[in-house]
Amino acid sequence: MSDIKCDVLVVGSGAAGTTIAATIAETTDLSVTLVEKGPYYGAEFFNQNELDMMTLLAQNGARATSDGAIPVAGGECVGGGTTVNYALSFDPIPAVWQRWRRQYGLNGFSFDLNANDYGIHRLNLATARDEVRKKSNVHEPSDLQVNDNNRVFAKGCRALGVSARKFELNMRGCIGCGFCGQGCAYDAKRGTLVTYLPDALKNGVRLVHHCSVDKLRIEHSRVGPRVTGITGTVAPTKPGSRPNSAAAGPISIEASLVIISAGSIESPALLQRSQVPDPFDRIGRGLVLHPSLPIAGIFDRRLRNYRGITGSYYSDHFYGSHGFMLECLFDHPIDAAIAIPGFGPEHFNLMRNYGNMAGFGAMLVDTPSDENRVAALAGVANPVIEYRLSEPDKERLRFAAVKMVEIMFAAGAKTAILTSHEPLTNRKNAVFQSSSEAALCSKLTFAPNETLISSAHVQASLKMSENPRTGMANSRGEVHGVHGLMVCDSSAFPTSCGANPMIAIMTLARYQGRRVVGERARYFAK
Amino acid sequence: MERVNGLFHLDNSPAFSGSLLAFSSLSNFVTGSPELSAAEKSVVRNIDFRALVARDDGSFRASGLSQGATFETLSESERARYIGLWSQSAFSTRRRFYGSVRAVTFIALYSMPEIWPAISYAGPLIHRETTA
Repeated sequence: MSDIKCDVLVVGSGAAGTTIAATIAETTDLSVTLVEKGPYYGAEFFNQNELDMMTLLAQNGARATSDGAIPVAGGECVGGGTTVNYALSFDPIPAVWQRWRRQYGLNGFSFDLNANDYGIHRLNLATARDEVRKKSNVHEPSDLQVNDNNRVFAKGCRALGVSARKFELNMRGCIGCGFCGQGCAYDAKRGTLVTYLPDALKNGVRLVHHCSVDKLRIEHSRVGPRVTGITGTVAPTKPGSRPNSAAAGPISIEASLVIISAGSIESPALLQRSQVPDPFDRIGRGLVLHPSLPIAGIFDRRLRNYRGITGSYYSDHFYGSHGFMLECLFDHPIDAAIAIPGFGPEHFNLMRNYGNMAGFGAMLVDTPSDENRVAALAGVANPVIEYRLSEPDKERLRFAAVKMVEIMFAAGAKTAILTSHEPLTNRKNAVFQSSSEAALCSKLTFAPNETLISSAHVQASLKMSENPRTGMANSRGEVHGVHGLMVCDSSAFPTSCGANPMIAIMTLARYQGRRVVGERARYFAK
Repeated sequence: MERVNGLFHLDNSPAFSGSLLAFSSLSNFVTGSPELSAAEKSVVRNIDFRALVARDDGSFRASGLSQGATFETLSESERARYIGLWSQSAFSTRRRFYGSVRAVTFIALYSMPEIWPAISYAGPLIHRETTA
C-alpha cells in the first residue's frame, strides 16, 4: 500500500488536470499530486502505427454510447486528449460564457484583461487564455503547411460561397507527418505532455500514472461531508511507459483539496461510485458530445491527404444559423475503413481509392438534454454513456450532410461517400455520384448504428451552476454541499463550450488554478 | 489479428469472435488482400459462428435465401447478402453487431502493412517497433 499525503490532489492529467496542477505549483509551496489512469508515454513511444497507438485511447478506442452507436473517443494517457487530438485550438467564446453567467448564475469568468475576479489581481479568463495560448504556441499554420486535403476542402467551400478559414493550432516545428492523433513523435504538438506537465514536475508536482481511482474518501461531520482523499490502485507499469513514482498495488492519497479533472465520462462516474451526495440527480446529466458526421470524396488524382497537417481549414459558415462547424480532418486506413460504408469487395473497391480520397466532417453543437447522461452502474466495469440525438439535432445534421455532399462535389470529387448504411432510395449505401443527389441526405433517419456518428468532445456532465438544482458545482468548481472537492474539466461546462474544447478547458483550469492560489486560505490551514 | 485480440479480448467475446468468422469466411472479402497468416487462420477457424446465426429463418426469408439453410451452407454471395441485411436491420442490436464486426475486421485487416500498398498508404515515417 502506497500512502501519499499532500495539499492538493488532481485526478486526471489531461488538458485540465495538468494545467491546474502546474498553475498551483508555479507560485506556491503547496504539495501537489497528479494522478493519471493511463501510462506516461512520451515521444519515444509514439510509433505512428495506427493500431499500436489505439492503446492511448480510453478502452483502446472502443468506448461508445450504451447502444454502441456513437464511439466516444478520449485520451487515456498522460496529457489525455491533448496527446491524441489534432491540435485544433479554439479560444473560449465570450458569448458562451456570458450566456452561462446569465443562465447558470456563474460569477467571475470576466473577459476583461484588467478584471480582478474574486479580488485577485488580474484573475480573468482573457489573461488565462492568453497565457495558455502562449504556452501552447497557438497560431495559424502557414499556407505552405496546408495539405491537399485541406486545400480541396477550402476550394469546395469557396466555390459555393461558403466561408472557410484556417484553424489555429498548438504546435511548434511541425514536420507534417500526419500522425497528430497517434501521439506526436517529435514533441512538435504542444499538448500538456510537453507544456504544463514539465512545468509541474519541475515545480515538485508528483505524478502517479497507471493509477485508477476507485473512490473518493468522504468523512461526514457536523458541517457536512468532506472529501479527504482517494483510494485507488496503481497498475504495473506498461512496457514503453516512463517509470512511475509509486509502486504497483493499492494506493491511498490524503489531500486537503481534491480536484477532479478526469474528463466528462470518468469524472461523473467517480462521483457516483463514491456516493457523493446528489440530492437533485445532477451527476452525469445533460452530457453533450459534439456529434460529428464525416464525409469522404474520391478524386481523379492523387491527393496528399494523410500526410501534412491533418486539419488546417474549417468553416463556421453555418455556425450561427445551424450550430455546426465543418472541420477538415483525414483518417489513417483503419478509421477510414470503418467510416466507409459496406464490406467485402464493394468496400474494398472504395478503399482502393484511399490515395485519391479527401475527407472532412460536420461537428454539431448538440442540444443538452437531461436524458443524455453518464452513469456508473454497479457491476459494470466502465461508465455507461446514454445518449440519443434529439430530433432538432438530427434535422441540423441532415442539412449538414446535404451541404457536405455539395461541397465535396464543388471541390471536384467524382464520388462522395457518407458514413451511412441507410438505404437512401434504392441505393445500397450512401455513395453519391453527383451533386444533384445531395438532397437524398435529407432522408437520413440517423437510426442508431446505421449512420456512423462519432464524438471526441464530451462535456457538461458535472455542470457549474450557482443553483444546485441545475448544476453540481458552483462557479469555483466546488461541488455543492461537499467540502474539499472541486471539479475542473470539460464536465464543469454548463453546456457545450461551442467549439473544439481544448483551449477552453485549459483556460478554465488556468483560471481556477490561479483562483485557488489567490484564495488558498479557503482550502488550506497552512 | 493477435494484436487485435490482445487489445479487445475477442476470445472472451462470443459475439465478436463469431462475427469474425462470418466476415472472414467471405473469402473474397478483399480483392487482392494478403493471405491470412497461419495464426490468424487458426483464430478464425476456432470461432463457432454457428451458435450465433445457425438458423435465422426470418431474415433468410426476407432476403430471399432458401428457408432452413444454415449460414454454412450458403454460397458466398448469399452470405454477403445475408450479412448486408444486418446492416439495415430494423433491430438496432443487429446493426450494432454488424458495425462491431466490421470495425474489428477492418482494424485487423488495415493494420497489416502488407495491404497498405494496395491502398497507396505509405504508413509511418519513422520505423520503430512498439514495446506495447
